[in-house]
Amino acid sequence: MALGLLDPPSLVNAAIADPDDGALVAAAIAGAAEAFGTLVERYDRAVYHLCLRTVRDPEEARDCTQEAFFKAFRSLRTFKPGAKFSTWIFTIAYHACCDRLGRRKRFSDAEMPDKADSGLGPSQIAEQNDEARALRAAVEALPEKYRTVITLYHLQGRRYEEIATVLDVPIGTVKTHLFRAKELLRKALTTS
Amino acid sequence: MNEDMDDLDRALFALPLATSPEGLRASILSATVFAPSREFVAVARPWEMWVGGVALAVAAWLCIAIVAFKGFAAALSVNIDLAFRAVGDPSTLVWFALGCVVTASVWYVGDGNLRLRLPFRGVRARS
Repeated sequence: MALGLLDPPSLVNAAIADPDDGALVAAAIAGAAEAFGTLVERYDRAVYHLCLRTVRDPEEARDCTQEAFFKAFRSLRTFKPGAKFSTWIFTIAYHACCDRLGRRKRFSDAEMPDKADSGLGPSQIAEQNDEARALRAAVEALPEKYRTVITLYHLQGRRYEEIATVLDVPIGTVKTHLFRAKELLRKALTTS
Repeated sequence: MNEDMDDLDRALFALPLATSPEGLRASILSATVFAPSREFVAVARPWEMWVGGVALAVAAWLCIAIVAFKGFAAALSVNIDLAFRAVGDPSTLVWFALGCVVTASVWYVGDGNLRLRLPFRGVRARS
């Protein structure tokens, strides 16, 4: 894809006419500020959702979201043409969350990825009346690795390859985690 | 509910995304696309500009003279040699130290601006 060979006005026009993520990234690289603004509008909520599910703290999730977009903006030129912007921004956001969790771990015994939560179990938290709230609570109570996979499964629309890219794990691991996560959720919800 | 995985999938996909906090988008945009551009601005005082300009002019004059006039470089090297010898002379160093003291005094009196407000300002020597 020869996006870099096109002149900025044609990139901007392309972004306006067919505003897919790749065209918006190319337009943003060419200097169209509004193109990156559109990408922020498209993904800020999803990125915040992923960060919130991963770090489980609204303030930290906000910081991670900002950090992710800031890093993305600064390294737009490293974005590979043809790649998915959503996967890229989720990867950056997930790394930002892991950094936060790592820092948190240094100061406390808070959870790290791949470690189970020590708080309430899914079955305890799922004891709520509203089904959606119960499901959300059950997702919240999952261990970090399962919670993130479920969140990305939701955000990325069942695409295992992209989830694997974000988490930097094999597709098989994603499938296994997803299966176990669903099992835990199913058990939590049937016992509630 | 959620007896099988399809039901669970449907329920998962029906979950709304978390609502992002107020002002998040604005803060992202202000930190990225609307961030003020960092331009290098050289701040120099007028006297620094004058010193720099004079140094550049002297350097240019020296280069032109060395290239254009035969024998200038040789004469210059002899004079520079003489100048270094003169600088090495104790009496020159004493005068140099005296000059430094005077400059420092003017600096101190002029609040670091190398400006001296003289009481008899406006009185000019007649040519």
